[in-house]
Amino acid sequence: MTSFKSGGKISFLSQWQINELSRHFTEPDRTAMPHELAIKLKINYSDALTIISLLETEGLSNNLLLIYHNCQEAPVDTLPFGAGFPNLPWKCPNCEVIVEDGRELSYDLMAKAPEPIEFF
Amino acid sequence: MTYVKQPRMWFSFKLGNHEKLPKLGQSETLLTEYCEDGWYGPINDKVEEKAYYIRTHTASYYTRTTTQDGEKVEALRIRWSPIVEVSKKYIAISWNGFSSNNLEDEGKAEITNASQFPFWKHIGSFFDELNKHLGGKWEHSELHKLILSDLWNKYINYSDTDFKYYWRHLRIRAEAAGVALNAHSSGMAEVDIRGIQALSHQLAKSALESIELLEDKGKLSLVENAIIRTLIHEWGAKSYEFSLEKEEIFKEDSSDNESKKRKPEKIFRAHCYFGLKQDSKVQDSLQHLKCYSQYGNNLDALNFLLKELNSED
Amino acid sequence: MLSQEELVEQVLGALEKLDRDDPATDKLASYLYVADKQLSKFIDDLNQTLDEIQKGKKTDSKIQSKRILAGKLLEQIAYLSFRGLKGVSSLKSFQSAGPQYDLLITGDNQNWITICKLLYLNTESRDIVIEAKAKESKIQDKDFARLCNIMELNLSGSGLGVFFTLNGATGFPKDSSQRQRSLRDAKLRQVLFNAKTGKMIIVFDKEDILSLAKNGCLINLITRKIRDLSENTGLPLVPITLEEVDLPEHLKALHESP
Repeated sequence: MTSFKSGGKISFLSQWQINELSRHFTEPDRTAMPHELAIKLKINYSDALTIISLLETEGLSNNLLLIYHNCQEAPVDTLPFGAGFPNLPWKCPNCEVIVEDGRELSYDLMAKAPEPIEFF
Repeated sequence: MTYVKQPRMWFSFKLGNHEKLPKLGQSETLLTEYCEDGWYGPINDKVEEKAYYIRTHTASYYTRTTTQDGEKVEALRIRWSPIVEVSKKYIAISWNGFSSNNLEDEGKAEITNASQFPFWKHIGSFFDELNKHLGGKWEHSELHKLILSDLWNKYINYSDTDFKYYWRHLRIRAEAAGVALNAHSSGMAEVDIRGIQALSHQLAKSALESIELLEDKGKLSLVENAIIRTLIHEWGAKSYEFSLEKEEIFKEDSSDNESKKRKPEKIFRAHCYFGLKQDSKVQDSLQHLKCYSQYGNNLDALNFLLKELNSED
Repeated sequence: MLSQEELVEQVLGALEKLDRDDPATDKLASYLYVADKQLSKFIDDLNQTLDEIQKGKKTDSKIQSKRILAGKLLEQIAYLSFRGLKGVSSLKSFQSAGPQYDLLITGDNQNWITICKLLYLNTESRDIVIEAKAKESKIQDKDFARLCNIMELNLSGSGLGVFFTLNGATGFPKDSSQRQRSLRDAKLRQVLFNAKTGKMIIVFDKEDILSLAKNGCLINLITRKIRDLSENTGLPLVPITLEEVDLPEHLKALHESP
């Protein structure tokens, strides 16, 4: 089953970029982080972030805030998108250190699309 | 006894035997005084036929404090206490890590950034000291063979009558042909349920797409697995992390009529440093494992490995 | 991966391309408020001081100093909570004639313009005025009137006023699930002021203030209260009490007779 996304809100994208978006989401269970889309579509991070946010409000994806700690390169935890940053003090589930200084943490976003999406 | 049996994040083990268990310092005094660095024990566990020793080591943590007289650099003492578990068949040292820093040279009182305490520089010498004290003859097992060959062949895509086993590749650090490779998956199911397999899947897909063979799903699976094998087995693995879980197989005649899926049972997860680069300045000089509390930390991990090693004999 | 500040910058950039009413905006806005570390402690201190005031006798001299302390704590809470709002360039005190200190929040760069869009402020009236009133009783019409006056005359660049209170204001519905069918007291003034000048004044009570210790909530809290204000004026409400106040009893009798 393929879902559709109207092009109205992403009118700042060219046709080529819209095609590339569709190509990224041809399979089910695709994920996308803003920097991934930024590279593929040759746009900047904040525009990619706009697209990812719109996907969720259209009901096409479930988005997550990824939380990184300096104890490892891969993310250590997630929060649902739209719930703000983690409240401090916060315990890192990977190394179990209690983080009091927000500067120890970094973040990114990820969209998970359960169904393929066609953009037009 | 409770203290030494607490789970810890890191451990390293060797197989073998020892001659004696000499008294090496009163362990009770560790609870009441700040003692000198050295060996303390043994603490005997008669039930399980094991003995424990504690090795204390002082590390410094420098902080800059501002007082009325101006800024000064203070050195705080951190006592690091790895625990040694000795049995008839093996010896295992376990510890928790921490951050430490250093003073820059030239006495300028510049503090370096905090980084992981380099425990790998010390654990090796602790093993040597124990050799002398206990008259031990121990050798590291061939961890890379155990994990990448024996357990790999046994558990990947394996099911028995009651359980289906799930092996997830989570991290590989490897180096060959002048190329260092580091693929790291977060291990969180919400983010990537397939671990590094997600990467090999995409590589396989792109490769087959380029020669227009993508339609054949069977080929995709074969190529995907071949790529994963190459990444892990054939690129000079220095360390590797995986998780193993098992799930009860739903039986038709089971009296349990609930349709809810049972949560898989966690068996093992550890980041295994194979210790094959003896002259490395980083962790690769020591064979050791980093464990996870949800998988029982060092206690369950060690038990699992010992059980598997025994079943080989 | 981005640091918190870097992600906030990107979120502000993304918000520029979105409509205010797109639900994506609210979700992104959650990253524009990071609760100050000290906020929890100040809120705890305020709760403790209020408990002590309640337990003590009304004539006790210590009570007066505790009341003053409560006032100061509430002002500190107000200050810290708006300091956690990203995009703010300046928070300063404003003192009109009289002892009352208010807080004026302004911004002058693109980031602030984006925040203004989120808070339904237009570029001409984009300052926020905060008034903290640690009264045990609800704040009244006259307190509202004072702020309306300041926002109209002294701080003409302001578009939003926020009361930090303990127990809300008179005339505001307590139970938000029930539609209020009449406007009176401070609530009436809020609606009239908005209808006349387009400026908004909202009220935070203790429950709202408690929620400020959590990341992400401030903008959502403000926008919910602003929407509540707009919805009220949108409804065809009959201001019954307005007509009643118009004439005292002895004249009303004459008014009603043919």
